[in-house]
Amino acid sequence: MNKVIHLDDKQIVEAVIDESGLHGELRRHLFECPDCRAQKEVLAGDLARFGQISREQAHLNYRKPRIVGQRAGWFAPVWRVRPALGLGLVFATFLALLLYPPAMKRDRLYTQEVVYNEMVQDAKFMTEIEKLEENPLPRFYVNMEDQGEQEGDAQLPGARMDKGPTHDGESRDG
Amino acid sequence: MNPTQGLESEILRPGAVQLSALVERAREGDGDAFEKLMELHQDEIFRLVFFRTRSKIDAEDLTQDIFMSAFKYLPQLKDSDRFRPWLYKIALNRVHDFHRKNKLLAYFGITEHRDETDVADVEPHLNPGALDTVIRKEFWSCVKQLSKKFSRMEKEVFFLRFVDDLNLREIAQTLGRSESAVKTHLYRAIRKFKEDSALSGFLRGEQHGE
Repeated sequence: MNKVIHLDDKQIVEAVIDESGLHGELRRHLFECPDCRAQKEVLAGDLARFGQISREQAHLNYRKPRIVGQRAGWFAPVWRVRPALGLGLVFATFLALLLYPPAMKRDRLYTQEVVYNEMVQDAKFMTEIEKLEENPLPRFYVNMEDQGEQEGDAQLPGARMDKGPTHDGESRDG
Repeated sequence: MNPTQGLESEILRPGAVQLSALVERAREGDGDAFEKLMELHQDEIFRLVFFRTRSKIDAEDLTQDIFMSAFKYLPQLKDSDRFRPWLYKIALNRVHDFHRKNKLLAYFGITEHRDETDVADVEPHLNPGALDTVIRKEFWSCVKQLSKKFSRMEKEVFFLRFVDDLNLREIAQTLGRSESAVKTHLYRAIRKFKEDSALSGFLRGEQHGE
């Protein structure tokens, strides 16, 4: 008479973890033996019940996660995607503005238009200098000088005698 | 065929093939596909985080953070079949970071630190009757006692298998261990679970009580 060898505790646990991992003979026995099968199902049931009660504890009304800005794609600002790339872009823009020819003042000195304007200004300046060399006083002073000369001639002694009484109404001769 | 209709049918039957197709679409930048993936996994990820942080607010923030990371790094996922373990790996890493940060803050007295090895001490919110509250508290007391007997890896493997419902391969991929190593840890954890008469008694009593 063949003695029936049931699965021990260790083999029951192994069967619960992964039944296919059991040796072929043991697996066949587990399939045929109701006692061993029941032991396995009790343990598996306890574990399943444990999981079920644990899962029931979790909140159902929690704040659902949201992916913000996921649709931005290529239109997402570059500094949000790659900060280093954003900084590089800003630096490159700054450098481009700095080196842009119209932004550089020294280049303006060498344009044809600027040189021509400067020549015209120089010519005007030279004309003024020449005029000043001929007559350094301004026109106002020149006019005043001419008038003063005429008045001065009138006040000479000879001219006063010819022209009659003095300012007090009396004749010097009288 | 309308592509949206196709998507809906996939959501109704989220098998492995359909899930892979969704992951592929999401990797190619399909926002709708990623939203569907999020809808499929958000409850389980929130639950995973909630049991490990014991705070609804922290769990909500971390869940948000986990999906943002998943969205950001999804193009780097090589095998779309591994999406679930990959997502769980991100979640576990975020939870570990959270506990590490809390531990540091607790060291400086800024916040109260809860040990990561503790199990959730949650307030029951479903059927909040007095009897239910007592039963739940008893359950969590038993689980807490059991959890103290586990090593860190045993606890991780045990909860991933029976609470988070991952299979052996997924657990191995999530934790970056071999399947045989996972089986060994799980074997030890189940032996401890089986020897815990208080929890076994509670579970059978609860089952008969229903």
